[in-house]
Amino acid sequence: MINNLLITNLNGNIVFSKYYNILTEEKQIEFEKLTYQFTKDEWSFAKGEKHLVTEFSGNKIVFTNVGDLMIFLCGSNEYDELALSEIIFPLMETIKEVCKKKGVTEAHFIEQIPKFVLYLDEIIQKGQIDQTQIESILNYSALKHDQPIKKETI
Amino acid sequence: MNSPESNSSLASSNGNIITTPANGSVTAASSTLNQNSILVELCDSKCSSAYLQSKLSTTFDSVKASLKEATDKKNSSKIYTCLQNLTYYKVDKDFLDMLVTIITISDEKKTLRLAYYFLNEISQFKHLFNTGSAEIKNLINIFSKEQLHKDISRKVISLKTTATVAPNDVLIDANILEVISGILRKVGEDVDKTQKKKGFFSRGTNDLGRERSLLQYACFVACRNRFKNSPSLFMPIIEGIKCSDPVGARHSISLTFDYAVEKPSTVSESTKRFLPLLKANKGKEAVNLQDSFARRNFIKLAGHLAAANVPESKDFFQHICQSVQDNHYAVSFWAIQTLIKFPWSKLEQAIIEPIILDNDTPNHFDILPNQISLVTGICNKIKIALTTHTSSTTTTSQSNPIIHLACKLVALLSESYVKSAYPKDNKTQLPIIGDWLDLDNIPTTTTIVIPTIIQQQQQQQQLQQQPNNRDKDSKDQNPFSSLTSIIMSCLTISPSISIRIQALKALVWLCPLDLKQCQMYRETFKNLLLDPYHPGFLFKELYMEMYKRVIATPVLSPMILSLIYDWIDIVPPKVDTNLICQTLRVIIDFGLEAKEKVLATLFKILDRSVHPDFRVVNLEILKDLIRFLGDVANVLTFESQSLYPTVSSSTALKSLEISNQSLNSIIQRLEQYAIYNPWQLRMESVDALGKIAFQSSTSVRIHIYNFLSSIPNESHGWTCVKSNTSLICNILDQLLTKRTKFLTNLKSSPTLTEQQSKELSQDHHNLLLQISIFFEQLPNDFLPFGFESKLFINKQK
Repeated sequence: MINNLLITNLNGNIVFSKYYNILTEEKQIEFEKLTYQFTKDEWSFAKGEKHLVTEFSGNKIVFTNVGDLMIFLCGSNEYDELALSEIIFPLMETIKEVCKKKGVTEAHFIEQIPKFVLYLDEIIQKGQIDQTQIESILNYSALKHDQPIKKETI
Repeated sequence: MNSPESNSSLASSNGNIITTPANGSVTAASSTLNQNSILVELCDSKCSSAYLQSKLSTTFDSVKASLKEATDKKNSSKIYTCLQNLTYYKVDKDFLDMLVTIITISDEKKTLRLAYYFLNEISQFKHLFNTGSAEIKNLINIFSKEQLHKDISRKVISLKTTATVAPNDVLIDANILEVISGILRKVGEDVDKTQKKKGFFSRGTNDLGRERSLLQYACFVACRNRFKNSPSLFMPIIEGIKCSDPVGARHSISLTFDYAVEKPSTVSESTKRFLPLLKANKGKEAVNLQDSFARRNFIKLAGHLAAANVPESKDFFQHICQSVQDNHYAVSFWAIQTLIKFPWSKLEQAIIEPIILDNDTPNHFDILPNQISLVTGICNKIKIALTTHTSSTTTTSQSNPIIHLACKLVALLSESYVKSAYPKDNKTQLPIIGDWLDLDNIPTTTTIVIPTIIQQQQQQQQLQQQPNNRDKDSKDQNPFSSLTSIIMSCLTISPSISIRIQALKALVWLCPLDLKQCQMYRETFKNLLLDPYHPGFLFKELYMEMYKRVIATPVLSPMILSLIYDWIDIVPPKVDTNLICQTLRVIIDFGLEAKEKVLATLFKILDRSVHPDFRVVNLEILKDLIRFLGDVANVLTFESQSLYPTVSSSTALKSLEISNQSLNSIIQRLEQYAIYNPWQLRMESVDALGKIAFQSSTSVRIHIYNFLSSIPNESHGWTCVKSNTSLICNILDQLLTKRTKFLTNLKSSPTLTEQQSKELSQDHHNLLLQISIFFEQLPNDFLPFGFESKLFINKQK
């Protein structure tokens, strides 16, 4: 399943987190600490929205950089690094979408979290991938299922 | 779901957690008191993180109160604002009542969407909801009403959410199931007929097909969250694989997999007709799944059915083989991962059938003009992926995940090949030990050439022109050995530690089965140790893989032993002695020669000169290895209690000679360490000597007892060593005295009196208790007084 999604600023402060697996508070902190330790040295290589991978304790994490934010998507079992990488695309697109007016900055993203959570709710449900097409995500989150969907995919 | 609290930050710049409370001040993790108070604060804040809370002008309590007020006053704009503010916090079950009310009173889509979002969030507490409560009744009423609404969106969101959040109850289940069954039944009907009827599908829409597939999708999501393996929905769900909504089809396949786990034969029979490249299905019901996740799910289903004992298993297996040719790496690599679960013998014989593009062939397959073996197909796919994505000119944002997974697949496939190809013992079916060579006598002439970008491109072109090159290769050679050079290049070009780890793991399994040909790999691993930029955990991963490899192919033990020495010698601060000891334990079991080599390696490590910078860290390593030596010395040297002098050999006790030369040399070294080293090492050596004495024959015990009694005691730190030494001496004293008494009793009469037996048993248990302090786990048959005591101890039991 998709275990969790973390979004941090470039200093490592968490601006958004969503856990789909059952973890205690202590385990979440431990996971976040490990994520930081395993990835921090490579954050600079994630520039240009390159997807990087790390793996520990059965958790596969694909992470990348968008604007002032770092996105970490963690999965296990059938959600291998390539599946997670595929899911990161719509996540990045939606972050860009919610921040399109002022650019992807920490402050602006925080402001737009109410919008982002609805997009996220369309992309991942109960730890399983749901919608991946950006148009569907935008339409469905606005309860506009009847809007025609263009052919182009992300 | 997760607990409602969360921490505030990923980590501080030095790797320690920093928590930022709501007031914005930074607190280091080391302050436990402060941390606890922050944790309490976090629990109260319910915010996604304390850092985030510090950026907000609201609090959870204030938002909750405002929402309550707005709901009571039915102020729709304020409700929307409050719901928006609530997205920063984790909601609890108390919100159910408010959310249901909001859905009842509100007609604005944006408000409704947020309310449904929160309902979904509180579904984790659904087991706490009272099924007879007014809120739940309202929720079900809303659900029934929404299903008749003309707006498709409201039907979809209501169905998805209610199925997730409504508590488990017979009546509620029946209600939702009836709606789902109705939708799925109507979906199967003719479009024209349905359009004329009243029912679930609204008549106003121009796109009935789209509406159908959307509702189908909503039903499948609802089923995944509530009605897995419902018998009444079996056929509609199977038919859903053909759903025109790609996400709906994907969910349907997932649900079908759940059925397949329970009833493989029924599912296999019903789904064979969907296999896309099966000749019999062409132009009929073969599916063309556009969604890559749907294709992955279908491969997962096929993998399960191919492994099951069903008549169609061969077709499903072939589907996975064909999926290796999928042009989407996420699908192709998933097919390879699924295939790895099958035995190598099956993979070796499998083929990929030609794929010719025609109207019936889904466009997500690469064209394959001629049939090729599966192994060649896999090898080519991985080679192309690696060649393309390691080249600096053709990298994409996904290059890292692709290289990472490709290396992982090579490791797994090579492991499967190695385990299958390595000769086994006819009787035990365990891997043979093989002939061990002296590594120092093998010339290191082989060198590896890392290909340039141009060479890589040429290789890629050659691959495409000659797809079936595997058949020319020797069958004894690892079929993936041609990937060695590209994988080695990943070690140098990739800044990603994770990729380097996967590449190393792959190289460990790419090592040939013949020790002579492994020199190049040995040199590569050794050179890696010399690079100061690799982190410690990279080496741990590498040596963990070597540990697995040595179990599978014992013949590589000399190479692994040599690399263990190099690890300790070159980068002692990055050594994991536990892992080394585990590996050595495995090698010890490979026989006499293995024991000799392990002992030689241990002595080589103990005797080496150490760089002054590494003195402290080396001390810790030596401590661990001396402890290990104490644990395994008796196994290594075949010294055991059975070497006890028998009752009849009266002169035995007088003999203080140790005839076991290997043990002698171990004891000599340990004695040396017990005198001339820092107190920590001396203490460990004394303990090791004690452990050897407890498990050895009387002559060894006497020798060690004498040594420990006369050990010099003036040096620094002696107080620490003294306590251990006197404890061991005391136990040895008891052992020797009581054994002598027992043997004297036994000599005078073949049987002991009841009193003597009782005393013996008491002494036995008493000594076992004392000795067990020095061992993690004493063997069950350990007899401190020797095998003669066994009969009497058992009698007493």
